[in-house]
Amino acid sequence: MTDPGTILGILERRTEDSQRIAYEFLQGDTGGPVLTYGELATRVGCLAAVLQDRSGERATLAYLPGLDFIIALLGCMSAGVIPVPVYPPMGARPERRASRILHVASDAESRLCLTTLSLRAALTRAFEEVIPGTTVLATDEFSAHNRASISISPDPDSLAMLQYTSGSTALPRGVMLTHRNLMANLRSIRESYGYHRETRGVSWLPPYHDMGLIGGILEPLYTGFPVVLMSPLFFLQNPWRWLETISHTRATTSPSPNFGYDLCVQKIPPESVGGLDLSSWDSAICGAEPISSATLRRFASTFAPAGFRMSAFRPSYGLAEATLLVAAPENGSEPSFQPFDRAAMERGKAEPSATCDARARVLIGNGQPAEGMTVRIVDPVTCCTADPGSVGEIWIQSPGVAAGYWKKPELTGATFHGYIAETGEGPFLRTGDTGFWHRHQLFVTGRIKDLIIVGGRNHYPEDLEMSVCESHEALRGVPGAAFSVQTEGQEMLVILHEVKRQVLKQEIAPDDLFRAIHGSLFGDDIRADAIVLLKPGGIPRTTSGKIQRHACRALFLQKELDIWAEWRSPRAVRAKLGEGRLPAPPTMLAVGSGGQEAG
Amino acid sequence: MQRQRRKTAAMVAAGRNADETAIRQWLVTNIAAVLEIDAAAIDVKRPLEEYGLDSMQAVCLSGDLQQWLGRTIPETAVWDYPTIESLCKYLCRARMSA
Repeated sequence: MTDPGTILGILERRTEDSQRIAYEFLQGDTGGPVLTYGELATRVGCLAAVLQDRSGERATLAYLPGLDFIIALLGCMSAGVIPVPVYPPMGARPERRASRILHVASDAESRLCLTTLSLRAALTRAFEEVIPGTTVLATDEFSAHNRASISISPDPDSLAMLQYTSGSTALPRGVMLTHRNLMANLRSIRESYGYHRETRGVSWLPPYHDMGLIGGILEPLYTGFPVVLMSPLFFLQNPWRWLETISHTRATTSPSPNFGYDLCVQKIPPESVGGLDLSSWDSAICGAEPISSATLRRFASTFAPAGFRMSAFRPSYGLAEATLLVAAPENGSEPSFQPFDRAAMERGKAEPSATCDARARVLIGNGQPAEGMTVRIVDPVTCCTADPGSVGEIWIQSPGVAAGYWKKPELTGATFHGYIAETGEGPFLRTGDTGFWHRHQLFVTGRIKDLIIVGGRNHYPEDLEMSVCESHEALRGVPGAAFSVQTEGQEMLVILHEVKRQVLKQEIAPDDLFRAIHGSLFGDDIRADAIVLLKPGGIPRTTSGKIQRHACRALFLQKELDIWAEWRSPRAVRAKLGEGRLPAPPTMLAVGSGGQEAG
Repeated sequence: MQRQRRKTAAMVAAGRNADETAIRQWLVTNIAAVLEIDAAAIDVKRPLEEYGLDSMQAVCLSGDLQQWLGRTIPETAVWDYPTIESLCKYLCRARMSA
């Protein structure tokens, strides 16, 4: 059969099997609401009828994880409205989290916000203050309305959605995905993991972007297999629920960032393992953050008695700018843990190491590029193809690569228009990640972009720097830097900040500043592993005043800062973070903090 | 796909009958363990986030609490009641009305 061109065409085709279950949303220990393809299509059509006169606009979608979110997403597309999923405000201080939605809404130039009755009042108030004239609709109200349903057939090259990968406030980046991008990557995903109609999925990932949205929600619809969804909080509260659901539904595919596998090992008591049957699970996808071989080994041995196989792991590489997937290993093969010489890697060379000691860094292969993907390793400075065995920036060309960032022509040019110097070949997506080829597999070593990835979520340093700066009078208006360092397979956040000159004369206890900084980072869903407060002028800047994060990182690692006060988390103390023990990478290429490492 | 699921890990809810003092003690001990700090260093009237607790740890803690008390605790309880004192009061109130 030919592809119908858009995910809406796929939805229409699925209604031939209208009684088949598309989604179940698990919210208690006894199950949850279910949507069949028939019900999904009807509710999407009804919502599209309500939205049709807003066609062409962007709508922010502020939903707790659940079936209403999926209906809203497809309902928008069906009405020609461009959905912009965002993290909804949660907990007792919604105003603090509503500010992220407002930043995204303002960046996306959206005057329409879709949500549910439970959040409508709070969001209406928030929008009235900041973006007056915004319509806030609760779409769970419409399900009962018996309106005529409509469905348009959008042009495959039109915008399907804007994908914001974090609640970025300082520099929001909305990745523009066309219907063609979506369809191309959904196809790549299906081929890479060998999905078919008998596949069964489970996902607890946040449904707003990347693995949770494209892989967890749209891929099952595209291929036509059922998926059981649950909220990330439901999983975090009791990780056993994830594995029990896989066991119970005989699921074959389920993804998680590295930390999710770790959490299962920490939280599930050995006596509960025997009650699980994980033998059906053949695609235990890991992605979204650097993967640790120690984590995978621990998980595999802990859950081997439940029938889990090491060969089920599919350590994958992808990013929002490519819709989702770039590379994944073949089905049925064990992950390739390969030690490389640490010193050579710091010189930008990938040399396999015969030993697994401290001089080696164990990396995990991400397999081959997915179907339709051209992947090149390129010197990021000269833009020439890197020599075989050399580390370089990962460049990608594929129909799944996005059209660019919404209303950010310069950033789009710098990121999406890479041309290979010696051949003029392009345009390529410059991923900002570094890696190399080894035995036809892609290995990711780190990052040259400033992105911080913790707990499977992307954080832009600008946002964290802004929060920290606003957290205490003594930090306001003076420079600071946020960056991450990877040790023992964990990515640790480091905050460097100058304090105002007046503070040095006053009696302000450093503990007060540490507390204020911790408090502000809580709102960003991240915690610091090191906080270093510096005397005025301690943060390296360019002549134009721009903060040099790479230089900050190097000074921190080499212990060459003029420190006023500092704080470390216990795990940072154990890892001797910033005690001058970790070699500071000499080249730009090795500066990245991502990649994969054995503990 | 509707069906009765097995009850989550057959653990004994040791804190089923805990009073306010016992709940406070449990919170101090367990939060100190998560943060890897001395229990004596925790001020029950200070927001936990100021000690470097993150939102993920807060949700995990609500799960441990749920298991210990043997009743349902909202996932956002630790964000909504950010100090040990307020969380403890909330847990006692919630039990009375349950």
